[in-house]
Amino acid sequence: MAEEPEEPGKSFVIFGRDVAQIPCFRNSFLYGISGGIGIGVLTFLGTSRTHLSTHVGFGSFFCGTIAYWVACRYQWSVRRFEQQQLREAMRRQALYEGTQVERDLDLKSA
Amino acid sequence: MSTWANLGLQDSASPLMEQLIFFHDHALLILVMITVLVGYLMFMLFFNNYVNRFLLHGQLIEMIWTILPAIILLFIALPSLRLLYLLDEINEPSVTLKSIGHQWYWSYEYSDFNNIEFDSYMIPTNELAIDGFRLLDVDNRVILPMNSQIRILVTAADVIHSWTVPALGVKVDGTPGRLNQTNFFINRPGLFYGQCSEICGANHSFMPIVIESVPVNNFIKWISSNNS
Repeated sequence: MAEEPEEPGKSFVIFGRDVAQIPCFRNSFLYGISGGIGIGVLTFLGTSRTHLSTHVGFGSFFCGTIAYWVACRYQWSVRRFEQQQLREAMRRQALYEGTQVERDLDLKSA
Repeated sequence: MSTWANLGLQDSASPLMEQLIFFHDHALLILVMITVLVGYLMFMLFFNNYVNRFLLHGQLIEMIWTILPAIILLFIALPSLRLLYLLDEINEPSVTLKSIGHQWYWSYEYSDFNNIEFDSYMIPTNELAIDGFRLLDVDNRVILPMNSQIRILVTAADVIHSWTVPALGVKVDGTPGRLNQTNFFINRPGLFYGQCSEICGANHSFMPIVIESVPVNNFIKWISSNNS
């Protein structure tokens, strides 16, 4: 039986911490850096001003990274909270299955 | 547990510690970005050719560099306050543990269960097993059930000590004549280490805390075996 090759996990260790495992970290910096470079290059192509393009590129990187991070972390925390609620609801459903508590809850929701 | 040259937080064993790590990551990213921004501004000074000997003020730039930091601080403060109130939430603990700090060991009492009491001394290095952890292992560990709310009451018998377990995000001072209470929840089995965190004399560094988190059935068996 052929073994499926394991995908190498993405790992980026800084000061002993694998930052690739931090939610939203990788995407924030990928979008921030690529957006900064892209907008900086476009600015230079449009204005031919090197200093201005560098400032615009860096500003785009700064604002893009922070904006993506804040938005992504907020959505992630909302999704995580819903997952925990679902997990707790499933646990309670297994606990109360076939009991009077479940019948009362069914009557309330009906 | 901590090993040498550890810089970051330990892996969490508690939902609150998990939230503290998430907040730490969020605040640290904002701080790193601000540091990168300041570094960039300083670096760009090398390439500056402009001088204005008559510069007095700049209303617009001063408004920007006042309002933007205030907005950034909002993005740090709001998650911080949310976590602060989350840490103070009331819940119904199923087990109460009392921890009393002495010079230089901890004693524990499980008053819910027929008054189980024991002392917890650090194992000296010359008596340590080959696979033991130096300055961290103790003779009697604190056995606690996992997936249960645990209340801990910390006090001290002589001087101020502090009961700490970083993996659970718990640090409570033990003050003589005072009971300090906190709650925690261990969500996985294992051994969690901590050390006294308030200077208390010559052997302050040698009175560690070890929590052994076990499934509830194992905890009940341990309680029963201690009763008999």
